[in-house]
Amino acid sequence: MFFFILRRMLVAIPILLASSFLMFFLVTISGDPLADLRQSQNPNVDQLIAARRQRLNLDQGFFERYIDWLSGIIRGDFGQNREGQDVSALLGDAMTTTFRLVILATLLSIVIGIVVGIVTAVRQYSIIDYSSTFAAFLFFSLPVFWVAVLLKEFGAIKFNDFLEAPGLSPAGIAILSIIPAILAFGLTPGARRRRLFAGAVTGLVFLVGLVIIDATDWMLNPGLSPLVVTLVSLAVGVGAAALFAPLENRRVVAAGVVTALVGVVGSLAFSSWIEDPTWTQLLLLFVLSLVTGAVVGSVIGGVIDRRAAVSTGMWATIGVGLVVVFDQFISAWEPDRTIATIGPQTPNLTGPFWVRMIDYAGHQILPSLALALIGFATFMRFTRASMLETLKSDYVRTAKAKGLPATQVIMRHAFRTALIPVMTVITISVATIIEGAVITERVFAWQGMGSLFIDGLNDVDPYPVMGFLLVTSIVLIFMNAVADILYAYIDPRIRR
Amino acid sequence: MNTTRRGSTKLLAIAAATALVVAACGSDDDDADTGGGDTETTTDDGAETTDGEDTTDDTAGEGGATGEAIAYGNAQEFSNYNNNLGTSNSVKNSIVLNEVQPSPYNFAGPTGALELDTELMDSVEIVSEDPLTIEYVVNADAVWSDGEPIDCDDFLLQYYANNGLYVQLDDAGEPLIDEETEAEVFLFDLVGTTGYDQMDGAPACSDDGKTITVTYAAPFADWQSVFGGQVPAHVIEREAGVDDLLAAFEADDREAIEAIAETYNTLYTVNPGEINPDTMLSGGRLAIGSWEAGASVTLVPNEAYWGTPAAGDVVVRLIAEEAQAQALANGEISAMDPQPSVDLIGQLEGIDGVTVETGNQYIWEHFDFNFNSDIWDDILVREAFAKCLPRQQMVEALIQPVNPEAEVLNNRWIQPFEDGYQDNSNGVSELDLEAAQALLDESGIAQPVPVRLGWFDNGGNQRRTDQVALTIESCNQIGFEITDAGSETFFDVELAAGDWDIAMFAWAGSPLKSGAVSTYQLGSGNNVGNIDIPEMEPLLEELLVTPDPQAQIDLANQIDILLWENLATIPVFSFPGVVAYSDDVSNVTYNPSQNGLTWNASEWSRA
Repeated sequence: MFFFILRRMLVAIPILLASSFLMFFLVTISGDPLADLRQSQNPNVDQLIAARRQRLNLDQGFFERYIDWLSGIIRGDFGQNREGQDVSALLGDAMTTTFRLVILATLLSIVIGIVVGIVTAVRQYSIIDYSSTFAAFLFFSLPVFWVAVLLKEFGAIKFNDFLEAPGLSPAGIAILSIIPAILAFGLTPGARRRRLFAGAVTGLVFLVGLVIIDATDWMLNPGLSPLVVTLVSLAVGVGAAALFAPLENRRVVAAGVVTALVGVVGSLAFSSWIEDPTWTQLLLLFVLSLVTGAVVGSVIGGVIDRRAAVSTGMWATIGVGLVVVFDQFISAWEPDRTIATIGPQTPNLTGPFWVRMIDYAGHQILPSLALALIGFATFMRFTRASMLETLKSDYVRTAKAKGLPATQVIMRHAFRTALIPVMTVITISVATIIEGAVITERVFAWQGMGSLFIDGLNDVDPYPVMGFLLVTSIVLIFMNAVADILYAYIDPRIRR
Repeated sequence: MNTTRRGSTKLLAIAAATALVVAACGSDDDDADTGGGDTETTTDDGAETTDGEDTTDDTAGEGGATGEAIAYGNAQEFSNYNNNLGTSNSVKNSIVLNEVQPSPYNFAGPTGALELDTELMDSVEIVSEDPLTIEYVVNADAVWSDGEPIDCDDFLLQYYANNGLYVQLDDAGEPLIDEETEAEVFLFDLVGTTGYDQMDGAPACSDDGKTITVTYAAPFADWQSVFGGQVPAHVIEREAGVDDLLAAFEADDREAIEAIAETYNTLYTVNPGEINPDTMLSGGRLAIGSWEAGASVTLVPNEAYWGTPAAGDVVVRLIAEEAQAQALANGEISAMDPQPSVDLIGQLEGIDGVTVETGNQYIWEHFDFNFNSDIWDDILVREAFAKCLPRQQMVEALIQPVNPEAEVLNNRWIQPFEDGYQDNSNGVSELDLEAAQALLDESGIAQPVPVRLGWFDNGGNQRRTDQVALTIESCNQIGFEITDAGSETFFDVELAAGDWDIAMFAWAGSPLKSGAVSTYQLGSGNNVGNIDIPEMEPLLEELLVTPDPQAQIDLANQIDILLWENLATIPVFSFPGVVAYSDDVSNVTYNPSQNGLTWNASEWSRA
């Protein structure tokens, strides 16, 4: 296995060299770095051209310049751009920005893509399947810059306008209730009557909820009262229990409920931390709550149900934590045009932790979404196809015939096998997402790798472009190696 | 059966949880204190307390900074505090530095004309016309933000750095010569020596350093354009490790001068986000407060400023031009002035609460005849071309949708919005195909006349593509056979090589008249068409040495009339410009000069 990996890595080196040579060549012939001076009316234009030629080593031939760059790279020096700024510093800033965008977008598209993929495979030819497929193909074929402009128009400008004076029309309430009703109808298994019932209940819940939200101006002044936090936490506790054992199992349910209550009490005890935490405090709280959940679970679960109870306890605290965080988050919300169209954050941002988090989130959401839509379609279609194939296989039918619960068959038996081809697609799709990020960054004014590349090319300035090339190719080669390794790990036949 | 029942229980649990979340509308609580969240903690703007005399606007009197900073969108990131370097000289830097560095004169107001900074300068006077001698008196209170006075040192550093007397030497101590251009390489990185190289030695300083006297060897028409965007000389002196900057230049101490040049060229070449408050001083109303790499530069009121304090913070945000309109609509920026297009104007006008103003820029499109090509030997042929060129149609179809006030440009020296503009064309270029055909016939030239129309065609400029199409469509109806000779290498290769009969491109002008002289002088590199009008040459020379503004206008118009009579080139239109700002911001004023909208950023305030 080690030599397999090593071989993959060694193969990458000549590829990198060749591509860097080609790229350097292409950038240097892509235009005239003196073009702006040649159009100048300045009487000193000859001396200015002379100065730039000297400074940028334009008096040297292409090979000399390439060797110069390459020897710099070997020494760890990325060189300087046309204005004398260090490419390594530019790269550092750009990488942070781009990876912040790409990582979240990738995670979002993977999670949503796989979940929707599974659901559509399990409910093949349902309304959910058709609408998701339609959406996936729509997103796949839309140009990302156009999606970005639409997202800004409706997701930011119009939505912010709406939040400044929120008010739902009866028609709006109806639409917002009917959509979840249809989703519930599509998701629910079983006979038509049962599905209609589920749809009707969901629709009604949303209808009542939205009417109350609208009537109380909650959107102007969002927040959860302690009572609501407690109630939701209890529901979360019960929900967590349902994940690991039948609800008839009183011990596990009790573990969930007690953990939830302990969590609520704990959140009150640590309220000063929670209201304006640092990252360390937040991490400590996370660990503390996980431990608490595990302890409560193991105490209540007894010997037989200990495993399920511990899991329930841990998931319940995570759930309660999310509820508490959500409460802080929306309480910090001000109807102050939070959804942004440009930049990774508001300039000179100060303020309490949650205000800053809201600001980051408000800036991150639209570009991440625009980028995630690219990957979503691929992941969803691949997961769906792969799941359908495994669901039809003999061993899955056997598992069902044994009487295993449906979730267990889908998640534990079918999904794991279905994940193999999806895994390789994920690692390779990162290339598409980085590629999409070049455009997305520009439209959303995030100064990342994309602008480094574009600006370098416009200035006929090879060094920043080469920096871009190096970093992205290394990421891609790394991801490809990861794909190879994962594939070899999952499927021994490939190892040879 | 079992599985489905459990499924439905879970479903109910989820629905119940959702209902609870949704029902959490009681809302209320714990956001009472978030109001303090993002209020800007701007410190009050310095020592000046409310000045009763101050009538410019009352926000400055309120003890400064009410509300949040005003954000302005710009497409390129600030890069260098020393904007007089050839390497970094750019609008992206002047946008930040306009009100940070001292300049005796600024390109101000809606015409972008040079205007004296009366708070920096007590007076600037022409004390003698022959030789031209200018006396600058700097305000006695004018200081850099570290307390050092703004004085003679700063003026003289500009002189020494830009006069072009110092060149790089090779290892043998001989001047370094660039192979391609055969030019010497300046020791100081500079944009141009214009003005400074005409001075008769170094300017003289008074004992207190606040009076600077400049004597020109030959009069220099645009003497107001020098000494702009000063960098602090005492910082360069300190960082270069030189005891006395001026003494080094006076003694011609090569070693010290090289150290100064090195510091001057590189001290301010920093990576994004690196600001050094000890070297990037302010000598104006605003100071660089912070720089978030890849995102924004924040300008704050300069607390050491001696005159009218700035109204508040200004943030220059980095946004690609195509993203600015939506950022304005979403309130993330309050002012913008990108390159306009029809789509953009439509988009901006659709935004509520935003004012859109259009105007002209100092950039203008023109057609040049190549006098090296014998097609144009006879003026009748040139006049025939002028009469088939659909200038009015170009303006109406391509420019007026952006700037409804746009008109055909009939003056090469003075823009329609400037003092002294007049139509010098005498109707010689009014569309008249019959007359054009008659002129061609009269000239006796063999028809059809093949003409290569050269222009910079990178495939991305629809407006120019349309201009070419309109020209071909119109002129090919008479005895011309115009071919589209657009090329991506037009400026690098074809233009200089004379590989064209008609060239279509734009000149970037300025309010300064002398800058364009070389375009029409015989033998100058900018005279691409080889214009040769002997009676115009003395007038051009005279324009270079005429400081009086009215005399400049008269001369420019005389020259322009000669250019029209000889039909050397045909101007078409000024490029349109646009500024858009939200209605709650006051004092944002269109400025056609290259310094950009922030020329008065210190006066921007929330209404």
